[in-house]
Amino acid sequence: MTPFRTLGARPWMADQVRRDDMASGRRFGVPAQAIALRIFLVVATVLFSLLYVAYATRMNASTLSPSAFFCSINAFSRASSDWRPLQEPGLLWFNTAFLVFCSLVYLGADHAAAKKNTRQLKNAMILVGILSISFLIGQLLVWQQLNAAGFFARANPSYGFFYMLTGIHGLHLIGGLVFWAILTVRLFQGASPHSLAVNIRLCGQYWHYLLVVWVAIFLLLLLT
Amino acid sequence: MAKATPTDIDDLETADLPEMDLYHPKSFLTKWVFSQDAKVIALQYATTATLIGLVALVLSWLMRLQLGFPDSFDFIAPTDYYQYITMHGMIMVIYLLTALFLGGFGNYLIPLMIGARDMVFPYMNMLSYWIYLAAVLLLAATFFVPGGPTGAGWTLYPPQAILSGTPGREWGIVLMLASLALFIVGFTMGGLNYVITVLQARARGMTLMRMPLTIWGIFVATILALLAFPSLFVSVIMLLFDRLLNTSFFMPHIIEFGEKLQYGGGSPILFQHLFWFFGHPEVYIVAVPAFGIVSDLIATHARKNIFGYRMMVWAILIIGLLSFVVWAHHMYVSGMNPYFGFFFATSTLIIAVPTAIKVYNWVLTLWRGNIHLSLPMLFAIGFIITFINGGITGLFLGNVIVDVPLSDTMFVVAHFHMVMGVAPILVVFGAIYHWFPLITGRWLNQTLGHLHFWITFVGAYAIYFPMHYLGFMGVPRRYYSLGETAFIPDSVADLNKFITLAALVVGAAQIVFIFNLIYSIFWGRKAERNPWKATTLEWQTETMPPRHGNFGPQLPRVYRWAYDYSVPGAKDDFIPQNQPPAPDEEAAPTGAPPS
Repeated sequence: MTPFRTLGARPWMADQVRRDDMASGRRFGVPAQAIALRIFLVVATVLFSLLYVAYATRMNASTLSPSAFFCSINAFSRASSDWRPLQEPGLLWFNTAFLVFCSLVYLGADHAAAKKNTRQLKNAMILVGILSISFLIGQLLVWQQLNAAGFFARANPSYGFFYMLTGIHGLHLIGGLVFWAILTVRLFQGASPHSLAVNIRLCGQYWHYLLVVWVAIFLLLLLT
Repeated sequence: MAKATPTDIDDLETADLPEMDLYHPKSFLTKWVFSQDAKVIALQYATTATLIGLVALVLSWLMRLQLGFPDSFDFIAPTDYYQYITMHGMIMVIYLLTALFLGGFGNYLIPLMIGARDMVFPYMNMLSYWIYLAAVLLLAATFFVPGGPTGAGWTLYPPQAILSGTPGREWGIVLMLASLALFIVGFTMGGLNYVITVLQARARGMTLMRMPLTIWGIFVATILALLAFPSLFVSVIMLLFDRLLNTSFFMPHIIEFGEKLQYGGGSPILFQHLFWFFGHPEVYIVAVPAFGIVSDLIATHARKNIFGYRMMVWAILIIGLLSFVVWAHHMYVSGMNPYFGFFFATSTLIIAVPTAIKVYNWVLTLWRGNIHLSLPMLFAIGFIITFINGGITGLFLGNVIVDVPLSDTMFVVAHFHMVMGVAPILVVFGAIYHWFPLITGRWLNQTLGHLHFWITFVGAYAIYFPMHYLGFMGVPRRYYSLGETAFIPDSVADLNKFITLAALVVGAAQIVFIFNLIYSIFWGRKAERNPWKATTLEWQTETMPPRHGNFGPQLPRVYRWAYDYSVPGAKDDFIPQNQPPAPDEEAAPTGAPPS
């Protein structure tokens, strides 16, 4: 089933015809929504990687020569740039903790779904919602703190990137909350934990992914 | 495919969904408006794309009127002209071609051709269309806001795109960027659906290498789009920040009318890199589905198996891969590091190899085929010729040293219109003439169709061949009028008049086509089932047009590849994919010669 073997098949030859006739028509033995999530995560990774590249490039952009692009992309240095490092508000550490707890709670939710423990699962899902919304509120507070201190997006490109990165990350989390809400409503309407187990696991994977993205963003902000 | 074991038979809920478990529309509203049936969504996509495309067609008329007869039309001011250019380009590339190939043909053909009842996520599919519609409406709204649509050029380059001298600086650019962001969100929903449906919902026996090339083209183009659109998304959001929040991501220090703006330090080149990292794959997002569709049109209408099926698949994949490493050939004159020019020229020229393989294979499929000069075939042949012409000028422009003098001239305009304007739209027309009987159960009027083909085909050459020449003369693109320029002779004005007249006629022929579409839906001659005697599954449905759920109580089972035409010893000159093998057929190889 390697890609090269698949692409090397001669579908018109008799022996291949016999093999092909047995094919079920599916490429992967996992539910469609699991593949959907994985493909979406690839797309989101492309998005965040490009933001990373844009960040590094803008940081190194010389004020005089635009042709310097790509020449020093690997060095996170700030030579001859108007870049001023961001002063990270301490609140960001709290917000990071919210997301870490979210991921941990999801692990518990998986466990509860596997053990068909409805009460525990309900608690876990509610906790995920509270923690996620706390994270979002925390991020909004950071925005407000920075703004109050006179650092809105236009203060420096580093602040511009901060608002954009946190904004796009937050929107992804809100998108995840839509699916979380659907699952939670179904759970409280009496759906069995077993029937929701796969989707809850996938939701958890999305949250883990957003945690990784957030840590990557936070590290980028701290290191530059 | 090494082991002949059926995989995950228990796990087949998608492919073998019985009909009653499907989503069923209950009212007119859920059947035709908020429908989750991929076929209806496809028609919604196609109609919306065509309508906004007509706007872009009218804009091109207006531009040509100005270029052909400068100073004759009072209602076209220079700012209007820039707005026409911008909107024409953006609509045609994104809102018409991308939406039509993937949203339109993708939605209609993927489930039918792979033998599925519907897309895997019908609700998300519906959402995808409605977000696309919102994006189109937002775009159209820019015509009515104060200041009108943006006149930044379809590439929206900063800093000029958001400076006060550019038309549409207040509202136009903001709405355009918002509309693009919406389009990307909507497309991502649709795109996930197309990819997963192809991977997981194929009928039994439909291996990846038994899929028709149409599906391969749409599949690979969707993957390209999923990976390329994030780049546009990033550039759009960052530009929106620069415009609305006065950040300086892209904006350098600028003095405007003697006044220093509060921008500074940004990199306009960064925008160009992000934009073209999307923009070049976009060319193939449009071209690759066209490659696939044209392969099927040629095989069906020449009654011959496609030459080099495997190589066609590989070429599509290699083109897709390479399309991500050529983007900076759009930026040779941007002032980027010259060493990059060398790299990107090389990678650009390498793309000619898989592309040429495809062209050879189309021609070799026609070779000694039983060629029926039906309308789809005419359009397919027109595509091959046009694609060769447009591709060859691409080789010119791919070289740094040739590109530098030709950059920003009409030569570039002629090149990209040939290769990604005329060529793909010829395939769109061919595909519509081919699948119209399936979609509506009626024929398009053939006389009007021939009129449409010949005027479009010959007219396109009347427009774009002379335009190459204008480019060689040094006529710049995007200029409202040429004025008194020493190096441009008077004959250029005559040629411009000729091109304008040709453009008006070609545009009028499209109106005839639209009339033919509307007329034939209601009053066209009734078509019999599988009128082209095609092998692929979409023609083997119980009813034509296919009902909701596509196939009858039983999903089709696939026994052969999509190109069993003129098989020696077979009763007919085609064997449908779902026809079980005859008892004596078992041992012998099917139609194609071994390769």
